[in-house]
Amino acid sequence: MTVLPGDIAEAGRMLRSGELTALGLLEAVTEKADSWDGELEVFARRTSEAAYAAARRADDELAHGVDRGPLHGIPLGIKDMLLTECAPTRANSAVFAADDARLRRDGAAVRRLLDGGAVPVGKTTTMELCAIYPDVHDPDHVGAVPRNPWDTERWAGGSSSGTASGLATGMFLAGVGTDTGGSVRLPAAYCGVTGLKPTYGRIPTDGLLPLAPGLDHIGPLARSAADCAVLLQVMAGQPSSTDSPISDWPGALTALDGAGVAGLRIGLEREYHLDAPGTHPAVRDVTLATAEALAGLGAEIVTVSLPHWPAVDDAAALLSSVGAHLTHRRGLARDRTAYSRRARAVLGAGAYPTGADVTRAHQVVASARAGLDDLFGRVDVLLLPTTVRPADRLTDLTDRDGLDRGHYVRAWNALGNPAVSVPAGCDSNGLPVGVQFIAARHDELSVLRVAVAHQSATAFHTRSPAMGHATRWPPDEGPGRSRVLPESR
Amino acid sequence: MTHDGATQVRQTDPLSSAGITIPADEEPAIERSRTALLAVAARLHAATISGDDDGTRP
Repeated sequence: MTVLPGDIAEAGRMLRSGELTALGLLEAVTEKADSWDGELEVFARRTSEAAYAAARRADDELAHGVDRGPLHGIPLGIKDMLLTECAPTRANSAVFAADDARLRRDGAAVRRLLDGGAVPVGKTTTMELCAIYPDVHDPDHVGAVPRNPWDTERWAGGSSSGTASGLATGMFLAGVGTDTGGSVRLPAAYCGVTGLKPTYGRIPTDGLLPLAPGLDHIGPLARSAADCAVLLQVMAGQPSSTDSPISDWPGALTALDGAGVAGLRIGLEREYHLDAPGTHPAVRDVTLATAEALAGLGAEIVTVSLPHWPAVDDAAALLSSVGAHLTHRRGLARDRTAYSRRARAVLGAGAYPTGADVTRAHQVVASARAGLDDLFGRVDVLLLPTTVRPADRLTDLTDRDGLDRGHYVRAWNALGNPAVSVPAGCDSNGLPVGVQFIAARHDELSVLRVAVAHQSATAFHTRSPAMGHATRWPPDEGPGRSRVLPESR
Repeated sequence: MTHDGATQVRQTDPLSSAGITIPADEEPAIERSRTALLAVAARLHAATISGDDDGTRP
């Protein structure tokens, strides 16, 4: 098995020292894709021609002293919701098949990644239109059924499914996904990688096929929080707000490494998360172990309340459903056969809430925002589980419990706060379990600071499924146990 | 069509008015999705949030 660089930073060092070429790195990740993509369905389509051209250019530029920055020569997986010039964008659907020519351009975030030297290896699979669970019971189901690399009978999560599973298996080192109701964070947690939903508006959504505008975010996925910080910095570009806490990103991101969490106050909510009836015991144990690990690093853990949280969750669910309906309203009327049966039902239902319902949802979100402004004056970061339970079996994906799967993530799309999911343990079957760090709007630095500190003291983010990377650190010591590495690491 | 918490009475089916046709065999599936979503809406109206009970609303 080819041993790949563990992360973007390591690959960058190897590329610049001459230990590795961009072409060699591309060939190594291509080998992984050739081996496992057929089973996992990571790629909607691979972009080999563009990848090899970019890799050769990266090597040529480095040889001539041209360095585009931390993504120079780094293989990149791009979710099939983001427009690219090098390949069509279909969103795992037939809806856009006739629009290939019109949609063949790079959106702003993709353009920045490619201008930064990233090597686009392919468009990664998603749920149908970013919204519909793959239905393995439907004989008419078309499109990908992304599988989890830790157990291929289970779902990779969605909707940035292929981005997460491809990272976990070494098919690329950098990924970009989208998140309307948890679609970066859920697959990151299920597949054991790191995924960041930035503050709403931080990364421009130009070139993103919309699902529910106002809730849609573009976000990075990677093997580590430090890598997510690099991707965020590139995709966000120059800050548009002069009062942004990340207006000095290069300096701030350098300071992440070693900043630690000593003195930070980290809030832990129990009623609607840890103590909620549906929360899987492993999810609860992993979250508590994460709190313990952060306390061991000097953070102060405080119990907080999130008043009316079920209503906030409901508001986000309703706004997402109505928004998705509006996005596809004309399409459903024009050609309903381009949508699966499940999509027709789910997207159609968004027509039924009333104006009063939508206004009430906005009132609930506004009320929650005011409460959070107060809360984030008292704590720096919230620690919450990412998922209700570890990855589901594909045969258990039904509409019936679709709403409950996103309980811990979707509210943050309506609220707009930054949230990063990091691998933090596993269940008794070895399936990854993730936790989220969440901060005030525009404060990505705090969530990344805590995530980097957590990953400097634990090894969960370095675990890989057997089919993926060679394991680069000893495996962790069991479910729900943070493995604190020696200080010498 | 009515549901708890909302007072609006619809005269026509919203999907039909949007020109979206639903075959008879798909009606049960959309009814399940509709029922689940309207239950969410009903809970939103039933919830009490800041400002609801501060005496400023009749």
